[in-house]
Amino acid sequence: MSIQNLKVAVLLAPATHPVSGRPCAAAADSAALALALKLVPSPQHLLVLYAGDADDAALGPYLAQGVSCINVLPTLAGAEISRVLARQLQDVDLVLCGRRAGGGQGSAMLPYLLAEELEAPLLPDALQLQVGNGQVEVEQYLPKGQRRQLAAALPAVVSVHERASAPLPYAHARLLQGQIRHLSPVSLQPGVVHLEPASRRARPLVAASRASGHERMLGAIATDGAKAGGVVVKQGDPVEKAQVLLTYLRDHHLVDF
Amino acid sequence: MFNDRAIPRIDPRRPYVIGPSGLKRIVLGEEVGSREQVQQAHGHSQAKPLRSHGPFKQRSLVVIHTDRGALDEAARETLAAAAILAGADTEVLALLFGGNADSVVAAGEAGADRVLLCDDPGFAPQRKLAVLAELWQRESPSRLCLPDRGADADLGRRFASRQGLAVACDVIEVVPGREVRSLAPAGQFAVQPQPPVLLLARKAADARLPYRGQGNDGGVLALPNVAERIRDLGTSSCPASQLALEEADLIVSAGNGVQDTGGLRRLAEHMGAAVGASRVAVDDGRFAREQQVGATGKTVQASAYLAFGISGAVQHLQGIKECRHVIAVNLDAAAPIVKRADLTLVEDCQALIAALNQLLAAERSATAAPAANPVLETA
Ligand SMILES: Cc1cc2nc3c(=O)[nH]c(=O)nc-3n(C[C@H](O)[C@H](O)[C@H](O)COP(=O)(O)OP(=O)(O)OC[C@H]3O[C@@H](n4cnc5c(N)ncnc54)[C@H](O)[C@@H]3O)c2cc1C
Ligand SMILES: Nc1ncnc2c1ncn2[C@@H]1O[C@H](COP(=O)(O)O)[C@@H](O)[C@H]1O
Repeated sequence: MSIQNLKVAVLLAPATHPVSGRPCAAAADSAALALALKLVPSPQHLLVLYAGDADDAALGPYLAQGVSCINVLPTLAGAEISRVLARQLQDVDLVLCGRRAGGGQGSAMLPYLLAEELEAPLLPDALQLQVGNGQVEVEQYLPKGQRRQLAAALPAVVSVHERASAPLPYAHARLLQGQIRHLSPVSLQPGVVHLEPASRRARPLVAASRASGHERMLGAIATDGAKAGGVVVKQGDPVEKAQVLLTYLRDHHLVDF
Repeated sequence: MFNDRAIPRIDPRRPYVIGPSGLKRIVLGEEVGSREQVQQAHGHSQAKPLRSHGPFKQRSLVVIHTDRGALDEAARETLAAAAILAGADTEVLALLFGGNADSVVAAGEAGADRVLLCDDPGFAPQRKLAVLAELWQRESPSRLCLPDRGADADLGRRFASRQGLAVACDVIEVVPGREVRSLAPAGQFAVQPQPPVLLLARKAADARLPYRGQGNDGGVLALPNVAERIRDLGTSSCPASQLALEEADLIVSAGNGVQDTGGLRRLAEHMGAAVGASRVAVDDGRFAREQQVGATGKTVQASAYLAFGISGAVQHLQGIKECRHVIAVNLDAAAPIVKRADLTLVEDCQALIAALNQLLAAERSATAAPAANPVLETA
């Protein structure tokens, strides 16, 4: 298949702004949109899907970022959305979605469930993406400045990292032109997850301790366990100390020279 | 003997033991216990009791990708969570990818009763899934815990969706026997009943356990020969100089004590490290604002953070909380950074930087010389 008739789909979910609480575009979803727009000749060629019960206004920011039409599958949020989406994505070559949604549960599970449902390989955390010869090649984000190149045959699911692209420009005119199309509703069981405001700090699991009062007191005055004291080197000339530093780095496999 | 002395003297450092009710002086003449031994018992974990002696009827599985064989804080917290949630008849079983004999001991200290090792070939989802599925079948654990970061997060999600298991991601709070809370966007908790697969966020459990696991060596698992659908074309690392400071793995950082900024930059280049700075050094114009580390600068997560001439003000230490190894070079052995540092060298920065540069240059020419002059070798 040539690049021209490649079928690309993007999954977008509305996000909630962490400060204002208003609907906005999720960084990772926008990045997925940006990569997808580079693959297709015009925005009309892109299949954009959202499954859920959010109102149309919440999807506005994506229209303003360049989507021409969003297809909404009305269903209960939190239900088995991957199955509903998979049914719409059967004949799509490349599915792009964000790494993690900025609204709802945001568990970053959907790409995995969807890939399983479609029986397609999942290439996670993409920063860059190339398609050609029936395969997709992705640069994967890894922490600490590492990048990994992955390749898989199409059809494939790619989850996009939020650093993949700068935020797309927002144009109000595009928001007014864009369409939101409602497909026929799907009825599903609601999920078991419910959301509540995080109005308090989470309590970490702490082991019940049967220590004596004396031990507990010692524990309270000790500074953070292992971190209590490092090695202090005072003796020697600068060269010897430099050697100590290098040996430390090598002993702990912190450098590879 | 005893009668020779007119007044029996009491040794002020006479031994004592710690009992359930606290410190107990030992009766004169008795030789049980000593100050040194008791202190060591408190400072080190080998004196911790076992969480459970067994026999075990159930299992709880923890899967961790080690960081070059080491267990980081997230890994310890996950092991601790599994140990805290386990009953006396539940064995905490740990599968370590890329672990070694040292990591078996470390995992035991952190709460694992039996530790299995497996090679880490990098990106190999299908093979790792196959190992995990086989282990899941064989041991039929009642719970799987993984840290929700990096390769563990990926593997956990793949496993849960492959096996169709209920999963909670980014779990920040576990209420044993009831529900789990996860971090959701926009300052919310997602609450659900406890599923079999838990992906734990940082600080979901306190890693300081009053007990340890049995730490038995469970042997090595071989990766099966399963076809991967995704080809790994290799990993590259960005040059440290181009990398955002937050992403760097090795950082050379300069404070007010560093005058020779040229030497420091050369050192960073030699080591392939990113350059950071304290606020004073930045305010002084010696470094750019993006290089400032600390409360009003960047929060970094390097494996190794080399602090040259930095006093270690709290505002600076806030930025390096997540760094695994901190090495300080300071003229003042009482500077606050010394308390945070794993290794402190009391020395003038300029002299030490120069010495390091020389050492590295000498090593480089020593290793480069035979390759550059193959003729000399054969001659
Ligand atoms: C609101 C607020 C926010 C702040 N935010 C930040 C922040 O984000 N980041 C930050 O770094 N700071 C921050 N600060 C400033 C912070 O409090 C300290 O003033 C600053 O970190 C000190 O920098 P320094 O250690 O480089 O300098 P100094 O405190 O001057 O320490 C220099 C150290 O170098 C040693 N030294 C001197 N000469 C030599 C030599 N030749 N060889 C070896 N050692 C030598 C000295 O013994 C000393 O320990 C903030 C302060 C405030 C009030
Ligand atoms: N209801 C939805 N409809 C369409 N796409 C979604 C939906 N939920 C999540 N996604 C996509 O899946 C990604 C990961 O979502 P999540 O697993 O909810 O964190 C998001 O960035 C979206 O691209």
